[in-house]
Amino acid sequence: MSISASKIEELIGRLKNNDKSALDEIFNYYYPRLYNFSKRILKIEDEIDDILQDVFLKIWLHRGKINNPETFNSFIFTITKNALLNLIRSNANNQAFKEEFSKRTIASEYVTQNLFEFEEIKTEIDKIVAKLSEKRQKVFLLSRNEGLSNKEIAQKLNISEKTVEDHITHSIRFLKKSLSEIGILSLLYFYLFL
Amino acid sequence: MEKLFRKYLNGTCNPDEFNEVLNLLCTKDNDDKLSSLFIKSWRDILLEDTDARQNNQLLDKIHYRIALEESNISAKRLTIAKNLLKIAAILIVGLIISTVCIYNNSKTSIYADVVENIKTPYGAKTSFKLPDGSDVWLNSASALSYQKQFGKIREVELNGQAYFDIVKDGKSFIVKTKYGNLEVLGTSFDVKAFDDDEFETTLVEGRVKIINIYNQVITLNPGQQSILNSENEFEIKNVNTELFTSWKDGKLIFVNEPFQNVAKQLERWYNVKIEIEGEKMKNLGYTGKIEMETFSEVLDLINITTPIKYKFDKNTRILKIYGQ
Repeated sequence: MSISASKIEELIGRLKNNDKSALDEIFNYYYPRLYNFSKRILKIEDEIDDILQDVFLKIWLHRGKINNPETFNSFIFTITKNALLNLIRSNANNQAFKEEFSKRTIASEYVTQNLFEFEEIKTEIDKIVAKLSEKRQKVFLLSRNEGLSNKEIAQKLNISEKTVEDHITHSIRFLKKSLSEIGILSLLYFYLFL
Repeated sequence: MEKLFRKYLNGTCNPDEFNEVLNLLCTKDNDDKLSSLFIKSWRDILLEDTDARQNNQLLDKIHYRIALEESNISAKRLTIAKNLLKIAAILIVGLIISTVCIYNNSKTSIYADVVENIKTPYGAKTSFKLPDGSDVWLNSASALSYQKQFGKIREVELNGQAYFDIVKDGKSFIVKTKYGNLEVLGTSFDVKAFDDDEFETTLVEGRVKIINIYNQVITLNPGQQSILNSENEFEIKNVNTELFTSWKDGKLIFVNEPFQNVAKQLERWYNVKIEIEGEKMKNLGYTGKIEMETFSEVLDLINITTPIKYKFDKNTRILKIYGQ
């Protein structure tokens, strides 16, 4: 359900007339969307509400400068994006942050005790993927090599998103099992992240 | 780069790619490129069906912050903004607690003869109307209780500090405190009756009769202030009433006030514990006006206007003050 330009125009008009209920409507529409956007960028959810609190405060404080739906949309986008980037940048050297951030950005078949083993794993993974069924292999490579989302893969192959998810889950399980058999992935990790 | 970015968004990077992404995100020269990649993702999300995730608590916080911004507390520096938030949080808690008290009591009011209890924690103030239409401002760390329906006399019980603006309606209005009672008809006055402070009444308008627990009676005229000293005797003097009542408008005014007393007010006002080192410091006269400032601004102000040094421990909220 998308919001129409004329509705945004109405909300901007009410904001300019200091109508706080317009801010409530803007919040109700944009909050879930900004949240999903922030989650996709930041991965770590703990900080998102603090960032969005500032975003909506800024929308109110700068309401006089917002003129049309186009500038409004880009204003919301710009302040949110900047806040997210600033947070990532100021925490890039924070070990705890980096660990959480990487855990959610790196594909789960690589989650091992330490990432130094990466080169070794990568070669093994390629070998194991070659053993997957044709369809499973195709789905897995579209995800891992092309970086497509499950939804995009589903559209491309004309199958359901659920089927894509199943293929990927099975592939990861097979990968982890094979890796642990050749002693690269410890059994502990195999069971933890199955 | 677009492929890499897609993997980042979908969480399917390999460890090398992750390091590349982190590098990319942290390089300021990439800002334009990053913007265009981000905006693509934002547009996708705008088109998606979104779960109806709502967060009314956050919306409430936003409204409180707006209210604070609009009541002219401008955050001048980022560090101050952080302190401001903490103080805001305290004020909000206070407001919520007082509202909850009022609300809870009004729910049971159908059972008649119910006592209202209004309390403000440290760091919070509130103002409200009594059943007869009189206005009360209740300062930090204070409590006022009264019958939901006034009888032949209007009676309230105070612990702490309050400013009353009492309407005339032919009936006496009585303020009970642990030090004694005040009786008025229709006036504006301030009463301070904290456990750890002197019992002090400041009359702005009208007349007020004060009776201490030993049945000594005095009457104040406008502009007069009475203090019950440690020998339980009243001392009356003429004062500039604004100095003693300005707190209700969000201001604290001091004229050559011993620092010890200033600290006591700041403790209640900002919900901190203040420890002053040295007798000389305690009796140092402080003159100045503090107007809806954040705690760190106040510290800066005092730091400039008096020869002090301070240390503030955020966790224990203890402020240590010592001479330079």
